[in-house]
Amino acid sequence: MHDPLLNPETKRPGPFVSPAHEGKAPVSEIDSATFLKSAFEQNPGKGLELLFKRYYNPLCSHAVRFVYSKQIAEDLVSEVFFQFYRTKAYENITTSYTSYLFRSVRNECYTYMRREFGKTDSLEMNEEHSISTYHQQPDAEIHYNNLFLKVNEVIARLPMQCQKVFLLSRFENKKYHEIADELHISPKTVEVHISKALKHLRSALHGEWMISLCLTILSIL
Amino acid sequence: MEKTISKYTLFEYLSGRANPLERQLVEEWIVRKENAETFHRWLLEYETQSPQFIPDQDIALENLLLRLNSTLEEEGEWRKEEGEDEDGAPSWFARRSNRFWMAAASVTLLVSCGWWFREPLQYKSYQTAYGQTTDVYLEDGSRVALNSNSKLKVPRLGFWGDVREVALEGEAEFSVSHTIDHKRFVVKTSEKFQVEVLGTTFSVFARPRGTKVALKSGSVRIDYSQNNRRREVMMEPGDLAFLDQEGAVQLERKQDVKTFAPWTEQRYVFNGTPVKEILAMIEENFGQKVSLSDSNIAQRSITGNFKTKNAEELLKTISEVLDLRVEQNGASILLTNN
Repeated sequence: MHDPLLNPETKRPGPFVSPAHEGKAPVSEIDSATFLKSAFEQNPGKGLELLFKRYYNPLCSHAVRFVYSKQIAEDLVSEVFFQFYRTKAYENITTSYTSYLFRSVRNECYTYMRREFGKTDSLEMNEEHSISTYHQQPDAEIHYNNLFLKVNEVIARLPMQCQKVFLLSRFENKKYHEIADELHISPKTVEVHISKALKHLRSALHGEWMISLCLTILSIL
Repeated sequence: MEKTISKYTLFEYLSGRANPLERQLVEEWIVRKENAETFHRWLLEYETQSPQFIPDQDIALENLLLRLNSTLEEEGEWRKEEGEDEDGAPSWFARRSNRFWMAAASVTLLVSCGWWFREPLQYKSYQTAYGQTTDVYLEDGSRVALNSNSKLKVPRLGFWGDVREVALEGEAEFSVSHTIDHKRFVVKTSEKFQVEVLGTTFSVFARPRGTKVALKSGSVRIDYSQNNRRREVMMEPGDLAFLDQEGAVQLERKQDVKTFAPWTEQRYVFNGTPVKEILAMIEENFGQKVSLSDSNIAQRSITGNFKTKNAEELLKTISEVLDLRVEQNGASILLTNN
């Protein structure tokens, strides 16, 4: 029988797939976890470095699905590592490193997107680094998933040129005039495309915030 | 219910290709706590196999370590300085919330605004226009008759401390009431000149042309500084004190007290007063500039008692007495010999 896990990515038309990194086998989770744990016990700095090398790239890859900007994704992931080390979270971590880091990054992304594309309601924006508060909710992971799936969907549905401009600007972090030169359009048009894309995102995500807020209230009740 | 999903289904779900049924199954599976670890492990696998982009890990790590080093150093210093800071606790700065800093900034702003506007906040000003006189009653029962084009500043929050201090620019007659605790009453006209009283009636004239104090009743002391030396003069009723060009105070004794502040009744009393002086007074009180065609006119003097409400009336009377012609010349008035 065909094993989908052996090569699941060949069909994927995703624009950002780098063929060079396909087929890189995941390191055995349990072995690396014990190895990292002992590294943190002996020398936290060394532990951090190992953890970083192991998780930075996949975490960034995941974060970018939310924020659609390489720069912001990297910043958010670095922030998670920074807080992880600064607050000595590695000393009393109860889950696996994988779980902890993915949760934190997803929460950071969620918070960021909410700040950027949604109305900030003081109810949940109080604690900036409230990883733990969102942990408690069992459906938090689903909210995270729905968010980045929604973002993908919205961007996929954008008109071709608009999508292209938006990705060059946001994902590649290119300046308006660079994009204009590249696509032979006027900077004004670039601006129009980008504001259109952002408007789409905002209105689409607005519903998302409403749903998650309602669910949050329901789960509290 | 106890369905497990395959990794493949999850990957399809993560890439947005799952159908609604699969999607629901995956979500039901994720919600269950015991699956959290598996979900994150598969997520890691998914992102490792199909990365969206390849960041420059080395540069990122370098930046992170740099940032950590500088931050931890800072925090270490803070801890050392504070001494009692618990180990591992965030530094003093970090513990303070944004709200605290907002509040601190507001207070600072408020205080500096207060400092900037301290005079209008601290003092209440009474100002008279040209040709207008007014009576001001102070909270201690004293009355101040303010002549035209003058300004009196009194403390907004009342007199406290052992001195009742007011500031004057222009001309005013003070009827100071005596307080039970013998509180001094001080009129400051400049940093260098002040009049101090216990309970009395006197008038103070403090204009660019000069400074004069006339005492009707009671007693006052004038404190002034000449060549940076503190000096004082005691006045008796009927005394007229004026500051001369050298900055010394001259006393003219036994004057007619009725002539001291006739303006309080809209009267002008001239006793051999030169025209020059009358014209200066008109300009001070009414803002009316008057010039003379012949400088000899300035030396002529007038004696008399005039009741008037405005400059025109007064000038008309004076010109009749001295046989002069009044010519309106734009904003200024010219007096010429007939």
